[in-house]
Amino acid sequence: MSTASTPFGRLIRDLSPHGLLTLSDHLVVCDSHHHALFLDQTITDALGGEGWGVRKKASFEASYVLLGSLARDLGAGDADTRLSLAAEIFQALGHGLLQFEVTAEGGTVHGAALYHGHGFLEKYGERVANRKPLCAFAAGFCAAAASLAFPSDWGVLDAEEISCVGRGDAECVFRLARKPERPRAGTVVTRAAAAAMNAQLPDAPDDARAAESAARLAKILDDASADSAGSVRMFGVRMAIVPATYVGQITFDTMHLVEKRSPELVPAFFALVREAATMGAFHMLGGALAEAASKGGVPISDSPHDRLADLVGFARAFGWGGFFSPDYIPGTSLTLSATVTHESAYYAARHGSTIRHRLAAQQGIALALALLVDHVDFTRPDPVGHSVYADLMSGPPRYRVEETRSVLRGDAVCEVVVDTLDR
Amino acid sequence: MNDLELPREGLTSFDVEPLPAEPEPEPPAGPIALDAFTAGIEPLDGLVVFSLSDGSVHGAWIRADAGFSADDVAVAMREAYRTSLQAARKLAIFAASAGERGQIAEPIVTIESPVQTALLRRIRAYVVACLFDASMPLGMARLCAGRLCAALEPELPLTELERLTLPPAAMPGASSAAPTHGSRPPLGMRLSMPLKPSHASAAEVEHARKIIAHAEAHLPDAHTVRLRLALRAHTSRLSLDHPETLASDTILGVEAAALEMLGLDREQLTHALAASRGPEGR
Repeated sequence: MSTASTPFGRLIRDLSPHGLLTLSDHLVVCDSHHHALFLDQTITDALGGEGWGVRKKASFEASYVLLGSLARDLGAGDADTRLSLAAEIFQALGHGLLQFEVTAEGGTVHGAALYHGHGFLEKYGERVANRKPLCAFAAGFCAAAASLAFPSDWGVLDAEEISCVGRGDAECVFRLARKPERPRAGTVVTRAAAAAMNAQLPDAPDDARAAESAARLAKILDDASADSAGSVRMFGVRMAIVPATYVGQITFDTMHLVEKRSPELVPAFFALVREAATMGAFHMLGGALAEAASKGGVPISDSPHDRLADLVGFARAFGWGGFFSPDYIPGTSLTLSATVTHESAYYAARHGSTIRHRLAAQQGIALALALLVDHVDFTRPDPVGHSVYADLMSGPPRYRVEETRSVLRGDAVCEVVVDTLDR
Repeated sequence: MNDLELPREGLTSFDVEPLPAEPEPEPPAGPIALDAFTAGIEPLDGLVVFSLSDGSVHGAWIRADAGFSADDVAVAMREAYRTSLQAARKLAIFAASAGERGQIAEPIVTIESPVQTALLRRIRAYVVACLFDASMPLGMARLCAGRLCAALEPELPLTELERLTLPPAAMPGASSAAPTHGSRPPLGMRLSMPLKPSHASAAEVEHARKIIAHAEAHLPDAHTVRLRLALRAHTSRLSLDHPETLASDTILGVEAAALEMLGLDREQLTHALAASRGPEGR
């Protein structure tokens, strides 16, 4: 069994017209290292050392369910087969390489080119002196894989990252030891549950263009695969497929803890979660549009409405949700609606309804779209580079981002409006 | 092979909004594990929460190779806290202003030895004992202990001490009758008065300005730095735009947050701030 170069198309299935993706029976999303690193950093900013535990727990629970399903589907029964399946899946999804040296008593896992640790080096290099291990997702994944390979009534295998390239060590190493705790199955948003959600998109000319763009990008993603180091580089970012439950769980578990302990800090936390989404969407969507022109021969339209439709289509293809833009006045206001998004699907499945604002990711994506269609010059080289983003976010114009409707509050759609304040 | 259709067990502290159908967790039989609070604090040797009234351990985390147990800590630290409480009350009686007596009588006990630093703080009827390795700088130990207490505070029972286990020190001419339930204890004997934040000096405010500017200049995504500092230092984004409104302890928190974010120790930051001042500023 070799999935080292398995294209995404053989692993991931899209759920149309919801704009969602599934692996086996579980919701997943295309993620960039920009979003992953900033979101992890925000969890740590909010919870300190406790953030590592939140992330590892979420990763363990999501990975345990996912790997369990895959092992059953593929008939992986013995420990060695399960461990090699886990390593291959990890690599194929773009998270890097894992080498298990584990028995029923525990052991060691060596990681190479890991999505978070190595991604940190690529993004920040020497600029930030980090002192903490960063690969909580990989730690939870290793622990889940080893616990499935060596199940025991006594407890699960727990992983600690004892060495991490993100803090200057030579390699990422995880030490696994048995912990007297029963495995927990995380909240699962299944394909069937997501398919049952409302997904009626509007029948408008702009949407035909968005659907076409989504189909074009989906084809590119289907053919994409990880390289021999387990990394996927597309659209100017390092990309990986991440369980939607992992992203949702670390976001909302932290948000609920902050609300409980220090409610006055919730706006800061929410703004940073939104920033993570803006940063990720800006680079990924902008990179996809630029790459479609430079490599795919698809010219970038002069019309901001057309560019917006293309970008909305890309957001659907990345599995972020069933987006459409019912209202857009260039340079003034942009409305981004969605029948369902990965965050609203997760929140509804795990926590149910709420009257509070919870659509931080959709807010961030909407702001990224406004920046991309109104302010990015796609004719210049490196149109969505770090400096472009930094300049746009630090200077005028300023934006007001407002969550006006949400399926979590009982509305038919999720809706975010971005207004330009000082034009 | 493990069955994935596992029965859902008791909720962890992370399951803050459980599904309605999920059963309530059983109350723990023994001390509560505090692992979730201690992750990432490497110089921490132990964290023990014990009842001030009877010394029973409410929750504990002890490093595996620490060489002592939570019960050992609870017994010894309870006595230390009780003694310090009594001393603090005596000090309070001689405090300059009557309004400050209640604050002084609420001690934060620090015990430094060559191998360990212990910090004790009271939360209602409980004392939180944080034991750090002696290599931990005292200021950082205080900050970590403060954060641990802040994190633990919502998790601890709301019960206040029904009675003070230490009777007030006898005062000349004072009535020996025990106070009735609900009566207002005399000044200097109150245990629940919050500490007032101390106003920062001009030098501290200037220091805060420099730290914020340095962090913005040296961290990526500069437009997010104040939000991150605010989140870490438990203050508002607006207060960082106006450092003159910050209290001394908040400035300490901002500095600690900046050190963490920059990956520097205090000495390195001091050098960096001095260097950024330029020749004329030195």
